[in-house]
Amino acid sequence: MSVVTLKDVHKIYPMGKQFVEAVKGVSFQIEKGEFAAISGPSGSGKSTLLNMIGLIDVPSDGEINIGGTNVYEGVNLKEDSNILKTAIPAKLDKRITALRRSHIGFIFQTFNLIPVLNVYENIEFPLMLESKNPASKSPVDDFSKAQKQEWINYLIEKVGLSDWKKHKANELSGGQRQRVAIARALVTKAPVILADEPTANLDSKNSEQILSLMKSLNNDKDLQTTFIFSTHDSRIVDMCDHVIHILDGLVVKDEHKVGSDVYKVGK
Amino acid sequence: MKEIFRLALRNLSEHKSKTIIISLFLVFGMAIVVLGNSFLESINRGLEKDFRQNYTGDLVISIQPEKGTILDIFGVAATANIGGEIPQVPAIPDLKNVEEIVHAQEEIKGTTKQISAQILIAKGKEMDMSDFIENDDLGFDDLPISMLFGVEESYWDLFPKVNLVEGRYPQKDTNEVMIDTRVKNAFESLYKKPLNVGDDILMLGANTNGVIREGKLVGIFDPPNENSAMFQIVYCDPDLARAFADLTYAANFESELPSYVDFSISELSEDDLFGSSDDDLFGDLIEESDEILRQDTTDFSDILGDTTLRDELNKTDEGAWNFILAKVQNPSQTKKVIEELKTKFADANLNVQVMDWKAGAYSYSGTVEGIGFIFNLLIIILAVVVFIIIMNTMVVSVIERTGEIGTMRAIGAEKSFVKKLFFTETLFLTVVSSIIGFIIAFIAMAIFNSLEITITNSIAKMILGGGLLHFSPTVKIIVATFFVAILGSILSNLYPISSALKITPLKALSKGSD
Repeated sequence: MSVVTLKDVHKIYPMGKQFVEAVKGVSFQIEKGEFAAISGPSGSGKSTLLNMIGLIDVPSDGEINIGGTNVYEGVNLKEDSNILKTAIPAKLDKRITALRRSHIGFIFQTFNLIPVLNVYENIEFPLMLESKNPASKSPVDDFSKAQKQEWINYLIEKVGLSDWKKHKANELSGGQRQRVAIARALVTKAPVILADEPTANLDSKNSEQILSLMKSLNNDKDLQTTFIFSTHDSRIVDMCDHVIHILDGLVVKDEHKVGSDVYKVGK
Repeated sequence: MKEIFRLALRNLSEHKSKTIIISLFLVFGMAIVVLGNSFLESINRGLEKDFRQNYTGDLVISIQPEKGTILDIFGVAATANIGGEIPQVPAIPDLKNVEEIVHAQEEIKGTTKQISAQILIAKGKEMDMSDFIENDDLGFDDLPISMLFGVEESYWDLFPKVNLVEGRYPQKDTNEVMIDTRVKNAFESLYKKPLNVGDDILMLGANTNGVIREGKLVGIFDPPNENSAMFQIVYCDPDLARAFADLTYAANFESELPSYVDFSISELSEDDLFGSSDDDLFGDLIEESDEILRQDTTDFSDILGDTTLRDELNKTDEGAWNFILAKVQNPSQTKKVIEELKTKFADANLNVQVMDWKAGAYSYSGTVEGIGFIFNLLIIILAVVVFIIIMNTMVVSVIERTGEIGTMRAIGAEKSFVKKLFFTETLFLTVVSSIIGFIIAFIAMAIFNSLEITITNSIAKMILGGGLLHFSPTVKIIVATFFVAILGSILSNLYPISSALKITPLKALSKGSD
């Protein structure tokens, strides 16, 4: 069952009076529970793709389906001048914000923790964003207060920060911060976790630890979380069972690894 | 909401410099506004109480002022350039009809009539201003210049709080006067000469009508309120006051002039009377003028020699009054009574106006209102500056927190969440700062009020509506100040918050884009 489907997705950016096409009609699917990577050199369009999957950037054309929802159904992406200017209309913004909360977890390259909150509160934060919009509902919203606390503490333990619960972001190392970001991404039980160069700001030791943590979370049958990376880190690519190779805004190779077997779906 | 509040508090405590800057502006802003308005309120209250109780009553009736002038119990003040001399207050027209209407008004408790003029008391029998002119330390308030109020007996029933220190009230149809202790002090200080009950005094009209009258000092009183802003007063019989107030038959010259008066002299030019202006100053002026006069048929000796008409015209008009002052049984009904009287006067086609105490004492209330206006104008300017500083600080804060806002949005925060977060921060800051500001203002007011500081300078007293520097905070002031602060803080946040809402999650991830 695919959790993410892209069909002929384009992204055009305005650059002065010119327009640059960063993504030139990309299509692929990512199945539930995959440990997937979008890989390619700098400027290839991999981060743009990840942002569009994460619904923080809007495609100029095409179709994006997240968890069975056609995100831009009824939106004329091609004709909407606001979208062309990278501004998102209010109604669409509400819809994609709700989907972001319920379906997507983010792990940023620069961790992006909220500096005034401690470890526990940072992880708890997405749960504070509960809204009346049913599309934003996460399974954790139905938990009691005690169950939520138990769930957050479980995640803190899982990422190895039990002794750092009360510490603020500026009191943590880079690796610890990224662990908090991972726990925060998991807290709403979002089916898809997106990670943009998650090891770029970490030393090799911390990188390995973070990657093995994510792999173990991916293997956790209870969580059944899909991880999608945007990376050019070969270590991550090697660990992934699905790698989408991007070059100049096009998929040049859609590579699935099943055990030691590798099969390719060329563009 | 609880979570937003908690997050807002954290943000405020973490961004200390921003919090302190905005708080300080708000705390001192609130304190200044409350202090200033409480002071103005105290002035207004004191002035209203003093004037309603002792000088104007609840309402004042007078002739309608000429266009471009304002009229109060102190005289006529020009509001526009009317040219020439500022006139005296004319008498109330159709006084009998006006009084009938006033007395028929059930709510009115009592009335009295008054004539107002300004006089200067001279030293003995002579007008000697040399002491004043030669002494640079003396100011205008050191002159024995006073308001002269010609009043009838009912005045003392309506305004009974005058404290007679020595002597008695002036009697009817006499030149007796009763003076304020401040007039006595100013007189003695200026002329270096005692002034006591029983002394004869010489009064000079302060206007340019040149009226001089002798009077006998029969009483000295203290004003009802020792810290009153009210100008120095001399009370006298109405007939004496009429002479200074130009309430003579000559004032109604055209209507009163007998038909036998010969106007022929008024048709002659100055040249006809005194010779041509082209004449040599040291020439045959006198002979030529005499020749002209000899040739003219007008009987000058008859006109200039007979002073009967002049004397008649200079007689005071016994039925003329400047003002009717009235007190209402229930002062809270004053506005309604004024409106009803206005309607009745208009229906009766009477050319009179009805004023409340404020308009009746405009010389004072207008000054205080002017001070209030200037104060509030300064506060508005200050508020705009504070508004811009807060807005700027918030904009900087939004820029600093771009990553944080973008992250929140990326992990599912709606725009309304960000909006609520910023508004909660600002409103919390405004509420807490306002409370601190109010507490500081209340402490300052309590200290100031306990010191009972008074000023003695009469000009300062007039400007500040009284001598006692006092603060009277009201719920209205606190609520209004608080409301304006909340409104201001919301407005100052609109632009920064709209900037914050324009931040897309993409900006938070800008480092990761390739």
